[in-house]
Amino acid sequence: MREIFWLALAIVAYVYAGYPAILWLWTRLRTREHALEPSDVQLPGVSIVIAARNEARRLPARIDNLLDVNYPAARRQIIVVSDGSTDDTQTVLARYAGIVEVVTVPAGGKALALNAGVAHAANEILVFADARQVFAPDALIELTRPFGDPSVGGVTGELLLDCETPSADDRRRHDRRGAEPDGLVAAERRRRERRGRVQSTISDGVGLYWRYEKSLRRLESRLHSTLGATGCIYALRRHLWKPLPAGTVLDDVLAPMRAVMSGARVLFNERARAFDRTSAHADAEAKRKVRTLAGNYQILWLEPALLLPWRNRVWAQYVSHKLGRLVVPYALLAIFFTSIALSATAAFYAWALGVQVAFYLLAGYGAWLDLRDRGHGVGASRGGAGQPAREAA
Amino acid sequence: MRRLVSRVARVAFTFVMMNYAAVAGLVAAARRRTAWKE
Repeated sequence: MREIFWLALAIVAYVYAGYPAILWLWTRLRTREHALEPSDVQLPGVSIVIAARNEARRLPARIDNLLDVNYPAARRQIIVVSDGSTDDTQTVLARYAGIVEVVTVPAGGKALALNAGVAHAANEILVFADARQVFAPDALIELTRPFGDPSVGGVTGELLLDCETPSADDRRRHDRRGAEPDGLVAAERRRRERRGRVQSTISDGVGLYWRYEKSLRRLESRLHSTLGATGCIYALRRHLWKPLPAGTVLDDVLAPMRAVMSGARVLFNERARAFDRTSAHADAEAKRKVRTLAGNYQILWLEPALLLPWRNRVWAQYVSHKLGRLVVPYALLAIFFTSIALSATAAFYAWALGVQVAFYLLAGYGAWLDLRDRGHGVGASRGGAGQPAREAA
Repeated sequence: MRRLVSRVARVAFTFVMMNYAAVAGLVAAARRRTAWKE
């Protein structure tokens, strides 16, 4: 029983603290060339692919945003795949005839829609975006910058959630990056600061989690590659794209991981930014997480070679990060029940049980706060719950 | 102090919810249920 307790505790500690610490040390000892610095290489041609179903309301703003992004129009192709839309999507897209290429497919899911979009792509660099988020003005330039290095096969950008109220550190970092002059970023910051004052329960936790996740992604990128991308802002060399199986949940993990297994690197460039809002309430966020984690299981049977260290160049990171997160809930249950069983044998286990009970009571209080926020309509101004396009598990 | 407790409670709730999602995700994947947007 004691062995189970300590093994489970070691798993949780390793996944959430040990692995990040090892990763941090590892990057200190062996950081790969970053390939993110300014390059004189001509901007590559990009094909931006958006899969949309019944997004008539959002598409005009999304397309206008893409047209406003700094990138030569002659080197940019925008493809919107209407995946069996039954609303006014076609009518809306007709307004952009000659600017946006429209591909209409019967409803088959996002994966098949992306396959159809990529089949129409004319350029070497594929950029994937969603209908809801907006890009910062330099997002495309930053997203394509690392491709000057031929070893780079993919790049993921940074998704900034509205709950990530900028801290002083963020401001200093952004100031150092010279990102301030662009008006949209400053406006977005002001908007996020306003929203930050009416935090919903879930956005507090998700914001923290998302910042933690991105710090891991940053370290993994420095070492070799990130273990996936952010669905609403990532780019891939076209020759590394393999058609996705129907029903693929996490195209933004499967496609980049296939690129890594082909020998390419997939980098995280936090200067390429997109903006989104947090799900308004816990049930929306929970559905999104269930979907994400179901996708992580699905990837194991879609690409079982990820589990083979001689095939997967980032095997240690994949096991520690992705698989670790899948194991942690069971380890938490094991810790709880072994603590109960052992609490009569030693004071330490009774103390451990007390800490856990206090933690879960606190979580219950957090759940109550979420319900209360819902009752007061906090988050309603966010435009309802959505599905932030981020892979975060 | 009260604000700090509220904040920690919100983070604790999110942590529990995310771990619940890992279990529910396994169930959804095992049943090949459409747990995702199409």
